[in-house]
Amino acid sequence: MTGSILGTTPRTYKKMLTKRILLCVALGILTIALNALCIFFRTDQNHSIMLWCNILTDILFGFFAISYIYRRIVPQKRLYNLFSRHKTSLSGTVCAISEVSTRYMGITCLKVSVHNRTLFLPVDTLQLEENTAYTFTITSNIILEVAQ
Amino acid sequence: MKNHLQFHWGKYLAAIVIPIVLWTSVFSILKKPAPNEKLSILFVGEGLDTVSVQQEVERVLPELTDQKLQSISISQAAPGNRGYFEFMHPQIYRYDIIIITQSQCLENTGQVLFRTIPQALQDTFSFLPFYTESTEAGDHPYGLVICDGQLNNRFSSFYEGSEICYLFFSPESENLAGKNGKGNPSDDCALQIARYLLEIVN
Repeated sequence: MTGSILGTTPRTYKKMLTKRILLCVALGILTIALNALCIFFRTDQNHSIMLWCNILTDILFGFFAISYIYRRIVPQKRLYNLFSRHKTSLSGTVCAISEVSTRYMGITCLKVSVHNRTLFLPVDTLQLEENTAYTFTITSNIILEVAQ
Repeated sequence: MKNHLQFHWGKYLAAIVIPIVLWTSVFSILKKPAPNEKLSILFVGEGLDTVSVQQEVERVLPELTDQKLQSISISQAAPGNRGYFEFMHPQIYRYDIIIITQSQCLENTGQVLFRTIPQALQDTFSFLPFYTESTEAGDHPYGLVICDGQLNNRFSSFYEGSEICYLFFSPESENLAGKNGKGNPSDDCALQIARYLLEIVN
């Protein structure tokens, strides 16, 4: 069994990330267009409606953008960037996997003890079992790929 | 999700505050003042020192009225090559007071553009001669003669020309204390400033 923290090939992963970025950009342009439309059709009669329409549109887009960028783009991009770094291999048996996550190099990880080394496994990526031998591909102590 | 909110709550707060501040400022710039929040005077002709009039109006108006104004504008224009009535007609809706020099005041200007001065306004300015036009039903006052070389009022001190000038109140103005049937009695800035400019001074 082999697996990568990306769950797919780096090339496919990159395409997925690009699509997510494009979605954000497209929604940003749509928001700007809606703002411009509200200003264009603003009159003294519908002044308040158009004002709140613009405010609500921007708040909704702002919430979406922050949530999407910091939960669906930035962490994934950090994982992707790890693959461009120098990689090494390590074989060993997993002694323990921590239950509490920790931040390592800006990535939320679980600590994995392999003999006397501590490796970091990004959360929600690979499923490892204790007392099982694996061959790891790592960079800066972060697990990138696993082969059993 | 809890972690995400702990790290990024400031950004969500900014996403609420920034659009509110930004759009409120932009929309307040775009919003035109209501008719009873602005005083506009148009001088049709040449020779009026509009800058000095503007400064004088801005200085004295707070003492003359309690009306809260967002803008005061004194403009000078001439029809030029455009058709006279074509040029003048929209101004009735833009300005509270229109002052026209004799050479710019074509025949039947009062009848075509304005209405007979309401009795309440006639009473207020009874100390001035009226600009009248003859109709089949007789002579009717449409404006006031405010500068004829003999009147020594405040307006004359800002006017460098030698022509007779006529003052017309816009029938659509909402700043004449309701004396033209429009607006509220408390909105009287146009009336007060006309009275101030036309007051005889020594």
